[in-house]
Amino acid sequence: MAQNWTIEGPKVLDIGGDGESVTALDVALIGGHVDVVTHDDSPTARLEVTEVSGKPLEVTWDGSRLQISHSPIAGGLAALGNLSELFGSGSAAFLAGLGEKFAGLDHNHARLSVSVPVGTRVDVKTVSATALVSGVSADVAVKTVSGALTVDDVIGRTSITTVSGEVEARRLDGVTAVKSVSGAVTVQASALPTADVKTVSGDITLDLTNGSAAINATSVSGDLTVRAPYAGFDVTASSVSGPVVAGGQRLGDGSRPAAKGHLREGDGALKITAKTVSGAVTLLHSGPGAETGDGIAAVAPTGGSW
Amino acid sequence: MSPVFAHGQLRLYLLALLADGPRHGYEVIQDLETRFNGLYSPSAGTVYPRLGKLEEEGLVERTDEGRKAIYRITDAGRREVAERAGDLAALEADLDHSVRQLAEEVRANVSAQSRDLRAELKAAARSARAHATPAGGHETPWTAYESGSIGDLEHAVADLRIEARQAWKRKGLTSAQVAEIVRIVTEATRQIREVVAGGR
Repeated sequence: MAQNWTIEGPKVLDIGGDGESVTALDVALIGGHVDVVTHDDSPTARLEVTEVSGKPLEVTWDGSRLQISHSPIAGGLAALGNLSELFGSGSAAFLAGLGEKFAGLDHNHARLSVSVPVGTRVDVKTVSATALVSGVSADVAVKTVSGALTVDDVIGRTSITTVSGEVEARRLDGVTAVKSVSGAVTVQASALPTADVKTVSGDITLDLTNGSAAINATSVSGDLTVRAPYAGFDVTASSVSGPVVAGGQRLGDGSRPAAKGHLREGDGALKITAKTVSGAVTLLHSGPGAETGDGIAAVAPTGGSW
Repeated sequence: MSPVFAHGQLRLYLLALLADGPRHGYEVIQDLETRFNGLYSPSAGTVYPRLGKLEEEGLVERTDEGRKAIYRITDAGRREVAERAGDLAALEADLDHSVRQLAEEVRANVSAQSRDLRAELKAAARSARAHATPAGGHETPWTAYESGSIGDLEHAVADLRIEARQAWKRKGLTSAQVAEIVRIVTEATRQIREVVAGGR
């Protein structure tokens, strides 16, 4: 049964009629804070709003998808979907445009917590609001301009996009994509079969529990640091001045760090493909016997295939 | 999976309501709303399945009166309410705070661990970079340079880069501060040139 609510102050709502299930949650906030947690004993959702200032909060329920938005930002936040523009030309213009879109909206604050069934797909977009998403067994996408985001315990695809907000994630299990302009992104205790990382100046840290993975990274000056319990690795990298190091080996000939090439050890099951200007790319070994630095090296010449 | 908030408590709350007297399903919903001063609006999709479950467990019995169903607590239901009187007392506050508190704990936890991890891996990465040997077939490893001086240089450059980047990211730097930073970096560049030229 489709329903709409306009919320102007503290309120607790249970959402979902008899026989209905929540399958998707979309949250779009400007300032403030949102918590998304999950439960596994009910197909309905609970929304607790503790504070609303500025415009009222709009809540829309269509029988399976729950949308919570602090209007009128929907159009502005859509711009975050095009963050990939930042990695091409004209990023300054893009940021300026983003600033214009959000100008004068900062008085819109809301604090809310929502609990949804574990299998609910979750999409959270914020301007400066901080957010937590925890315990989801479905795809999760979080995007922010400057808000700090926390993502914990996700089984599914995770997509993280930030301009300058810091993002901390833990216990991710699934394909992961990270895009950052200047926000640091830290992913801990996670099993990522593939990770796609793009950063301008934000440092990216991935601490993996799996030794076999495919990581694609592009960085300007942000550092990429990966730690994993690998048996072997295969690093293909191109760097202007950033050092590229894996298993005690350094790309290049020792006299200058600028290099294009290939580092390999053992079975090569942990694959990293990286392009960096001045950011460092470092692969560390976790677990017993870490960082001996004299593994079974099979080294390909620099200037390898790209 | 992350722990779940208040739904188990809602079940107890429903039992406590019915312990006050039998009610129609919609009366249960209205009473819940009244009890929370209109701040909590349970939906039929939340309440009816739970009443059904309580019925299955024999804690509640349902009698149909025409089109309406009346729910009445059983002796087993009363025993459960009596046994869990303590839980019930703590309930109203919990219903208000459960999600937020849970979320706050998770966030604090993740954040503390992230800080530790970043510091640990940053140090490990720095050490790995300083001690790595070149894989390009050249005989001279970085560590073979005199007393690790190249490693020291790399650390110093890395520190400069981090500082400069943080300064760049920081909002509200005055133009005088920016000019001063540029002057320092330019001066450092000039001095490095001199040192290198002097060594020739």
